[in-house]
Amino acid sequence: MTVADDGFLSTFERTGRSLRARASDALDPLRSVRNRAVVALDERLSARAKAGLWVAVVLVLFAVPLVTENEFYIDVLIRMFQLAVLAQSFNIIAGYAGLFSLGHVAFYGLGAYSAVLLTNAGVDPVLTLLAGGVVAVAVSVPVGVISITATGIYFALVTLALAEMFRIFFLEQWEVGSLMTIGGSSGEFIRIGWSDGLFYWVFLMLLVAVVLTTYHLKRSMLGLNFEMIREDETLAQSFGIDVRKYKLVAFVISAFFPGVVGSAFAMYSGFIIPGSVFSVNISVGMQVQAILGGLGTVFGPILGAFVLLTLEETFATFSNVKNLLYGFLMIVLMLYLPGGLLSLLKRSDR
Amino acid sequence: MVDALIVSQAVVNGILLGCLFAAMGAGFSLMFGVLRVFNLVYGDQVVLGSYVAYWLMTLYGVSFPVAFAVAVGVGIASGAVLYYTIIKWMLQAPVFNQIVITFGALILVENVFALLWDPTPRTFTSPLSLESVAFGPFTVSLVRLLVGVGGVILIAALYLFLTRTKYGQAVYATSINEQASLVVGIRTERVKSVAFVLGSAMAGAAGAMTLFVMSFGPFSGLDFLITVLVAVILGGMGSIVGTLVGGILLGVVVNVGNIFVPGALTPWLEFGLLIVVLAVRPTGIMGIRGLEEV
Repeated sequence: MTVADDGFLSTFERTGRSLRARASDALDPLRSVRNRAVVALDERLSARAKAGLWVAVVLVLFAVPLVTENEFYIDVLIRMFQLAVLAQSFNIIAGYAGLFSLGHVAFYGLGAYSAVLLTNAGVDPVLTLLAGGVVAVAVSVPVGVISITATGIYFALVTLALAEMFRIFFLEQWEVGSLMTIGGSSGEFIRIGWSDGLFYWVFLMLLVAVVLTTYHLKRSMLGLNFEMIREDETLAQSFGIDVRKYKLVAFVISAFFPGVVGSAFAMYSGFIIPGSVFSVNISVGMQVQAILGGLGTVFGPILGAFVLLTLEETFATFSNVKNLLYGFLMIVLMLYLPGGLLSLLKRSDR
Repeated sequence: MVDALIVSQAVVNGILLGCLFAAMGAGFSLMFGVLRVFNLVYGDQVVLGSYVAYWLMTLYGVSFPVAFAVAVGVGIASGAVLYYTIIKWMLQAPVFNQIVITFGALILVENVFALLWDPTPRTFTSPLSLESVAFGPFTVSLVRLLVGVGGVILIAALYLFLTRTKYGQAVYATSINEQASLVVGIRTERVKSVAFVLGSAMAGAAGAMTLFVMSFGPFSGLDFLITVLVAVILGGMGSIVGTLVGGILLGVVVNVGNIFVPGALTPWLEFGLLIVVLAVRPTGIMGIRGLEEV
């Protein structure tokens, strides 16, 4: 700014400014060391070796329930996979298509409630799992059509409002057919009798599926169109890209996985209430993990989910403290590291 | 059957409640007008005002005017802290980042509240709560009337400040055109901080009044934010008079809608209205064209 700012409390500003500058300077030597390391690593690993590495990681993860019966580890890993799937779904809509949804928890909750309904009706668990995704996709079409009419921050607000509407809807008990009810703040129980190990594999397969989807998206024309819209909507339109259509496609793809995961988690945990499966904190979690790792990257959201779950398990078992941490991270990350952890690894960002 | 008297009674109540919504929204509108920032923490600033006034009056038996003044003071302090720790640093950032930052602040502040205070929903019941006033065929609770009038006074004060004082004119000018204001010698950087703090003071003031008619808890910030957003966007971003119109419209729709919509789904009215407004006409009724493009 050209005009001197001597507003009150300006000492605070100056302190803040010099802190920022100092932090940036301190990172400088680190940057050059890191750059050299990354270049070296990249040169040594061919694409095939990288793919092999990932397959090995997945195989090791698949073997975990065969090796250990420890419920705690299995539970933590299941929750980590769930977080990673949600974060990756958020990444598809926000990181690739540039649509900042605050309401993807709606699809998670719908998946969970469709699982309740179908399990009570005696439907096979595998079908129930898929049905969660189908319900989410079916609902995401009208929801998407409504929300993509709004742009920028208005899109975020519309999705937030829609998700809250679903939560409020399920707080009340509704009759389904003549025998069953669904919803109500006292929650519902689900029993299907799968072992934890089985659930572990289900969640791991979901994670692999969402990662493959994102990876494919990144290399496909569809993903390119998404990124084009994210970067410049007007320009994308002038290139003949049907912006509304692709936004809707991104919305629907990113709604599918939260639906399946919601359905799976409802069956795994055995008890759900509207306050938990439609909680705005789930949307917040998706965002923080995806942003922490790095939006618009395939590996970032998984890294973010891993780091945050580790932090949570170590320091913040009390839910208020956990959410406090999430809020704090959202502010700090977006101010100082908007590219996420993976951006630290990129060569020459300076 | 719903008869006309019940509906018209709801309209009267809605107008009074709407004036309060408008007072809540005015600060947000001012902040957006000058800084072009969606301050999603605003709802929490209102809740903070409510808590401050509530504890002063229930624990220490402080009279309302004093509690009100303290709530405004705390609002100012919260605005200054927020502005110099977060808002100032994100003014140049892309909208996407701004949403994350202010939404993160919302989550952070809500959970700080939840650590400080238990989640019981609270409302303040004063001796006046049972009194009511008759206007021809209508009866209105005295507290609602006072709160409604208070809301109008707050908005009028803000409006007069913006249009009749030199400093207010500088704020107003900056909201219309920042570059031109800079050219004519307005210190726009300073105006921004003043506008943000002034908006926060409005939040504190509105918070001290809502506690008579609306219940609040540590997590009410999001609900208040939605109310504020509907009132402000409906009326038109950045326009104080528009906010008054939007607030009253929202109050009337909510109150009349409550008669027709099943109890559990009444919050749908507000959300539904927000969605319709955002999707159909983000400029609002009296908004300045082009301003909505953040």
